[in-house]
Amino acid sequence: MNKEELLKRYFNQEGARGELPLQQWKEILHMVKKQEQNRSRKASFTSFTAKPVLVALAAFVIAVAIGGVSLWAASPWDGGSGQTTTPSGDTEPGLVGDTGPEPVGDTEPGPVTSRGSCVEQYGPDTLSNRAFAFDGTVKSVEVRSDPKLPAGDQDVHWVTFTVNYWYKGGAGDEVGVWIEGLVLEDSTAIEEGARLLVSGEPRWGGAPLEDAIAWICGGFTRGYTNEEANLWADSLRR
Amino acid sequence: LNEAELILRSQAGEWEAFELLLEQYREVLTRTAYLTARDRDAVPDIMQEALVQVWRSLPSYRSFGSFKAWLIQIVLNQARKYYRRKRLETMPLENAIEVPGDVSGPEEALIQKEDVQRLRQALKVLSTDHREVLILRYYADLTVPEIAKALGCREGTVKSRLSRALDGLEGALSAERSHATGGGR
Repeated sequence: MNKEELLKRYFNQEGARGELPLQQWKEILHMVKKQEQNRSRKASFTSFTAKPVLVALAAFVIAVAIGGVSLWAASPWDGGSGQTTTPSGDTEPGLVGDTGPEPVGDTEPGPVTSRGSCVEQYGPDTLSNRAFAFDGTVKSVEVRSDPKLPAGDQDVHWVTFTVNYWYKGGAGDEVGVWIEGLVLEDSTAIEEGARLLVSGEPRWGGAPLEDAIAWICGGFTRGYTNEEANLWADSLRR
Repeated sequence: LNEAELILRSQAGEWEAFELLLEQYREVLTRTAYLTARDRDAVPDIMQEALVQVWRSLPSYRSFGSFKAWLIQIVLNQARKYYRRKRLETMPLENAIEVPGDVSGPEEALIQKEDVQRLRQALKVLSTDHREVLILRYYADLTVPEIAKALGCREGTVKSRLSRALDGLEGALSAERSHATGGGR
């Protein structure tokens, strides 16, 4: 038996030890469904979009009171609080309602991670808190070693961008940032030529672009759209 | 319903379609989670986190390779995160790998216990990225382009990483053999 065949059989045999039985799998799916339903309901009332919605409602009431006509439109930041805007402009199905950030486990102290943004909800205020933000096109993706990380886990994606526009924290035509994971929550693949809106923090503190890491959780880094770019410009001008 | 239809229906929010779609990948996803995180008890949590992410990302999923590779990438990220956290918080790598146990399966597919032990030891000396590339290629059966997508590197990097991982494995296995037979002294 050759090495490759031996490995296949080994992984198959070893992997079987970790395989979840169908019943447990279904239970997990059931929990996920419940979680998403609750999240969807909760998002209707408690997400940060409540604020603009209340403002809009108040405006509507006032407009009606004075006999005017008021057209209410959902805040474009709804996408930020959770409903991921698809390339076509559609929103997620009702059950999901919200991809907004809910802590997913990276709450332990330590260096900033890409997913650290899950502890903070995406929105105009939190976006403006980021150390850097830019509109960039992926020039290259490579794996680099970060010697500050634990041995064995030092290889992280290093993505170089051609910067189209700096909102905050930098200058120049090109910048490199660490990114953990190469598919964003809106399913945008981080690959050469992809145009993204990127924001994040210096991983270990310091200047904005010192070991800069893009936050990919919650939408702090996302596929470029004109609409989002305008929102970023508004938010980061404050 | 074929996979493309199930994806479309899931994207439209049909939970039943989502369950059917994912069921096809239960084995490969849960096994990959286990092989990467190296902790059986962690698999349910990893899968729950991963499935949430899959569900939330699916509506805007655009095919940029195989759906299987996309799923595996999400599971791999969750499993890595768990493995990294566990290793930082608790124990050295050697202890994080489970003690071998009996596995039931088709007789002809099983490999000898000694081979399992030797491979387990040999894989311990590989780096995480070398181990992952072997899992993706020889367990998940992803192609080189799919692995490149999943790991975010060039195909050439995947090939060289595979080659180095296999060489490293061969070296470790030789050392094991040599050690077992008292050779090299």
